[in-house]
Amino acid sequence: MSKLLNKTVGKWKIWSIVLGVVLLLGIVLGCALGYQKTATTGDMKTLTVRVESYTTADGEKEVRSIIDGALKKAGIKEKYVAEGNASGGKVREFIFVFAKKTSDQKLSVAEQAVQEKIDAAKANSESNLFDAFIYVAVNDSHSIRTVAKGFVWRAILGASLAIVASFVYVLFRYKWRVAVPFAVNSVLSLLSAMSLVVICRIPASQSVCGAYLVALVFSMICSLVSFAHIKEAEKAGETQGKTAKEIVCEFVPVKGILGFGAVLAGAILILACFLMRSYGAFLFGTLVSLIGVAFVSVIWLPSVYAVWKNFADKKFAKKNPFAYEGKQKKQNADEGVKGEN
Amino acid sequence: MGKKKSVVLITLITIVIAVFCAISAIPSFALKNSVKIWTPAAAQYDLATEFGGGYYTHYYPEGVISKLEYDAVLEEKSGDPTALEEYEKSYERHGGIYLSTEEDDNVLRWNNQKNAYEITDEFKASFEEVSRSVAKSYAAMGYSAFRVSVQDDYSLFIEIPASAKNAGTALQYFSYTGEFNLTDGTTKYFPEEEEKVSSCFKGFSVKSSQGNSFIKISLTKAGVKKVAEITETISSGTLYFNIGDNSVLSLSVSGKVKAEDKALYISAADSATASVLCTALNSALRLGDPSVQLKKATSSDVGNYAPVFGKNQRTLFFVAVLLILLVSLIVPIVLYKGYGVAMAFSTMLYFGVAAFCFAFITESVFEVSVASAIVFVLGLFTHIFLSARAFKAIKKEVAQGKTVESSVKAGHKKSLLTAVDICSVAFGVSAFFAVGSTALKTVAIQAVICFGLTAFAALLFTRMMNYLLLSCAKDKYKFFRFVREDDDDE
Repeated sequence: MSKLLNKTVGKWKIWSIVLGVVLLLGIVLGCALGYQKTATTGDMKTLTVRVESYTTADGEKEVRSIIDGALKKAGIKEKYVAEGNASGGKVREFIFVFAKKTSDQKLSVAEQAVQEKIDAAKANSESNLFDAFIYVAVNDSHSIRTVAKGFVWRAILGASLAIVASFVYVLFRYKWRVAVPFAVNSVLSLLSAMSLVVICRIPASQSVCGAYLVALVFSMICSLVSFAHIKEAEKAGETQGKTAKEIVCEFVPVKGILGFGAVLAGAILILACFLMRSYGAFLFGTLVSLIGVAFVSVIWLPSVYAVWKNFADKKFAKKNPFAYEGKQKKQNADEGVKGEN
Repeated sequence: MGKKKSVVLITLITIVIAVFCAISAIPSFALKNSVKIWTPAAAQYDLATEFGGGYYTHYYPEGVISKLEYDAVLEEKSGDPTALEEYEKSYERHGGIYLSTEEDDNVLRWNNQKNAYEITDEFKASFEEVSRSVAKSYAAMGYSAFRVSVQDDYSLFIEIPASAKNAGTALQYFSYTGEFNLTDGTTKYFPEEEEKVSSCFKGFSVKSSQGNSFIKISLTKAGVKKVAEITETISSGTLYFNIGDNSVLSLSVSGKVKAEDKALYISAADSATASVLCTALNSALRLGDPSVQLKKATSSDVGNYAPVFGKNQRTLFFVAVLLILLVSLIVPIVLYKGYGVAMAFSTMLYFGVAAFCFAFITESVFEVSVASAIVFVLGLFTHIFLSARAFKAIKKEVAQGKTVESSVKAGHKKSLLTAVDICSVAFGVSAFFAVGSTALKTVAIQAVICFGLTAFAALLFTRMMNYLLLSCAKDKYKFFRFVREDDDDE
């Protein structure tokens, strides 16, 4: 019997309130603030240094060190640097990208410092930048489009079709008593994953939908494994005389599910260790989504399923009063109700 | 199955898996006595922007220049004070750009009350319309990651991923603004005065047939008549479909052209080029003739940038995935011994085939990003999870006193249906998510590949490898690291 489920099953009202608060907060914040944009999709300020002549690698290093020195002195740090080539390599651009909230005054100071140092280097015959054509500009950008046409409605359509199709499959395999909680769990897992990403203000772009796909599949695997174990136990007659709560606590393989989740989280952490700069936000968003799914599938679902099972077994028993299985399910359901009262 | 047969089969399977893994992952090297270079599948991935970098350009309306250009011209004129002063007077600074003060450009207007230049309302409104149209064009291209930004209020900064096909073409053609018109190179035939473009042209779309790409020009009834009239007038030459003064499409004419089914078809180099041209032309139909025209971007205005978070991100990505793969190989062997070896075979097959498919499943852009890695990892761990469940079921059967062979049979049977359910649901969900677009569609298709391989590995291949390896094992209990119960009769 699982110690975790022993503590959590029976408190379905509390877990439902927690889940409800998370979803409500996610919806409110989502409507009010939307998703936090990533460094490569959000508004930005840029400092561009254009070198309009062929330079050596040493020359480029000198330009970079001038810029880095000026930014350090001004007390500002770039989010990233795009090193561009244009005109077949004849034009080299260093585009330093800053957060939108970066002070205009500090940027202006940095721009002036870079300009002065570059002018001095251009005039110095011993410098790698002697007589080079180098220009500096600071720009303020507001992103107006980062999402492809039809992306959002097609993502919603894909998710809806996926959940409906899996519901139909589970309906055929496990009947409505399992299919309904399975579908509800899938929907709530997906919504909780989305809400947590919004609440934690994790920067997200189009690619976050990949994380939601993974979260949804993971939640479906968790719930299917749980229902399969309960079904196997029922088939083997191991659930006779047990209440719904006891069945859930004993036969839902919490260790296996949490182990699977932990291993997946471990892999995400390994990726995060190597790719923190480029994909840190996305990987953190995936991790947070998985935590949301784990809460719904391991804490909320078993406690709600215990109550649902009583209700569903009673209904089944009413329809099948003379069947042995019906009588047994009714007995278990009644004992479950007595225990709760 | 006999030992010899099992060994032969295991050897053959190992060779096949080794070949797939080698094709996918062996690093590039120059081939002996040849100029060719061996390139693994992993080196041929279309990479997301974070790993592969991208392309960028700026769009400036007529009458607007960047500070970089302004400074460059200023430097040129520095030897002539009069010319320098005149040039400085002709522009007013606005953040990182300069706006023309010339009345003809209709960008700035002198306000006597404020004693300063102010931007004309017409310029503001027209620029906003043009920038929205440009943004819509890029949104229609289906890029996995792109950004259209308004820079310093009156210029545009565009970024698209390096994996984008015909990126240069898109960045140039989407800068074309102006009235959609038909000419023969010298004479403009359409639209004439009081003629509306929308009364003749419905739109442009991409069609494919037998590997060839075409641009379909959908016409109205009036459009069919008009095209017939124009081509009859030209009789022999070329009909150009222009945006402003820029030619986008051309149709060879040798007599009157009757558009069947109210459509004309013009062949294109490929579907990516056709898509760009159609999007540009549809944008022109939608926008009409705005008062603000963008300066035409040329190939020298298009820049490419390296991965912004460092060129080593791609290498680190592959290292991280290989590390996860290594752990996935070693841990099952340590936990499940012989059965873990069977799982390791499945893991390597999964890796080799998935890595191969990610590179070659389609000729169109199929980006590999960290989302692809997570989907790959989920599929891999699902197969290991299902195989571990099967092992647990086998162990349970052995604990009941059955022989190893019958326990394996029974254990696999008991764990089969749940494994089928999980693989079916995972595969189906991924397939439905492929309804999505751009990045989501790509990740969904990658998930379909991965979960398809998961199903093959967990339901078939691991069991088959276990059977072959078990046939070669001397002590079947030791193979699974099971403890044989003492026979009480002895």
